[in-house]
Amino acid sequence: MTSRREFLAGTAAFSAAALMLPNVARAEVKFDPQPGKWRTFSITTRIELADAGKAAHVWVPLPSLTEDAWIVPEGDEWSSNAASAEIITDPKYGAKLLRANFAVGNEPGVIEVRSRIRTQDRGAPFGGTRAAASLSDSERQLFLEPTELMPTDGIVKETADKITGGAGDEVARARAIYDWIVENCHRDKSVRGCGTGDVASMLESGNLGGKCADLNALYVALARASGLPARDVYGLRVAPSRFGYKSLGAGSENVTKAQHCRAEVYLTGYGWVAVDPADVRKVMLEEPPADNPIDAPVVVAAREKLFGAWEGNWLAYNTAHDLVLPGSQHKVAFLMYPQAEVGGELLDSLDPDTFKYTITSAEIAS
Amino acid sequence: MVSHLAPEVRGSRLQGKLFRVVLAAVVVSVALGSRVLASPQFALEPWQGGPKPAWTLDVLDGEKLTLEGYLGKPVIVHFFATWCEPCVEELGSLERLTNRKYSGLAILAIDVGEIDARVRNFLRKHPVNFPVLLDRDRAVTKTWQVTALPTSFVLACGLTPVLHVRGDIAWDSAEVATTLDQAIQTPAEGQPACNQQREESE
Repeated sequence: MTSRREFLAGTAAFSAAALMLPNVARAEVKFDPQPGKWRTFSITTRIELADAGKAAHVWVPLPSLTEDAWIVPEGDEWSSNAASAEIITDPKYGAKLLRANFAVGNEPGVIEVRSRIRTQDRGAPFGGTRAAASLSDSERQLFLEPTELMPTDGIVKETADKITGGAGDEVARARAIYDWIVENCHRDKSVRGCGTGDVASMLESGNLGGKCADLNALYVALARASGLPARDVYGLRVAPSRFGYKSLGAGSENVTKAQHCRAEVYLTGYGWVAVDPADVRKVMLEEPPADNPIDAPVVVAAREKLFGAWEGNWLAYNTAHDLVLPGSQHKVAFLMYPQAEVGGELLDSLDPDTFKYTITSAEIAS
Repeated sequence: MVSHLAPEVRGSRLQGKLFRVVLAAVVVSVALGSRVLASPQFALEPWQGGPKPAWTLDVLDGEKLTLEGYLGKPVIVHFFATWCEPCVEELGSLERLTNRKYSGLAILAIDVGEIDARVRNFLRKHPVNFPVLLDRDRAVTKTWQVTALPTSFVLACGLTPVLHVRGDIAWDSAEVATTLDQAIQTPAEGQPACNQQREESE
């Protein structure tokens, strides 16, 4: 058995009360994330491999982003029958993951990873004092560069220039791209998982449907093409929305399928600013009664805040792209789901019949 | 970067392209008789570019396969992905095409950028009788400059593209059959006839 680092405190059960949606009168729609109340969550990822007859490797994303204003990882621990396991940090993006190695044996590999984080809401930054930390040259370069599925030239650059008109200050350009995504893209429920993030192809085909990894990646690509550092933040919804938005929170303590990526854009004087146009489209499509028009109060309220703010019912794993899984030949466009390789072949993280894992979330009482 | 062409949600950019494709098909049809035909959405077009680079790829659950091994045969090289909705129906029409017994016509389907397990699961539901190859790192997709899915090339016996379609078509339709017959049996300028080349290669 392998284990590391105990948590500082025990976890409280994810109470039924915590799962109940707040009793918000929807006639008075309110969506107003504000910092001030930190919450602590314990996330448990349990993977059970089916085949003991082949050597196997497992990679589990760990909360990697530390931002004093809204998220602080508090440690990871695990238990497993793995031959070895270690935390590895990707040198380019700083993405942390746990890699476990399973030898050929009599019993299938099992690993349970628990990560603890503190998080709070992010409020709109534009009315406050400009006191954001500056971005280093290397960070600026990293978050302006293209990725394999996210070019910043060609049709992406052409589209960005059309959206922004090539002018305006940073906030105006960032907002124009946000509004363009909200008004021109749509959420497509038939897309597997969170989508592929192949943003140039969305523009090439004119098919602007997708999920968060598509729509928010398109935001990031267009922002980068406009000269604004931007990044996808891949993560997981861990609790219901306290504003009563069913579509913007975890529906139960089982968050196995609650992956969600958000975006950030770096604006001079404001720092990294929260952006999530994909969630505006999710509210339009899914928020009861569903198929809401863009001017529905429930959509307007979310749209107004999701440029600059987001709710702290979500954890961030990392901002990595094109990540070669350590010790493997396989590369993933982004690391938001657990990954496993059995007998040299990568399993399908979105196929529960061949790759069994569960992720649960528990809020720790303060 | 590879896109999935979904006609029902295409924007003005593709509508413009569609117009150009149809127009090109009509113009070429006039010039070449019935060689190129316009389907309601997309159509085979004469390939105006040069040769495409050779490749070797893994067959799903099989050995490596090299394109050059098909020298002397007409070949359809078809790029697709499991997440591409129109690709599903088009694969079915390619499968039905294999029953039409075109002389020596080979079909090679290349899945773009997906893991083996996902492709395998997909093919359990949508089985085909032709080889499915894996362009896991999109290297072939990039060198062949494929930017949208599905995309197909019809190669003459010298393995030079003669027809091309960016979008989905019904490969088992009578119109496409006529187009394929003429493309396959009428060698392009400078290319040997298939039978002759096959005999030489054997």
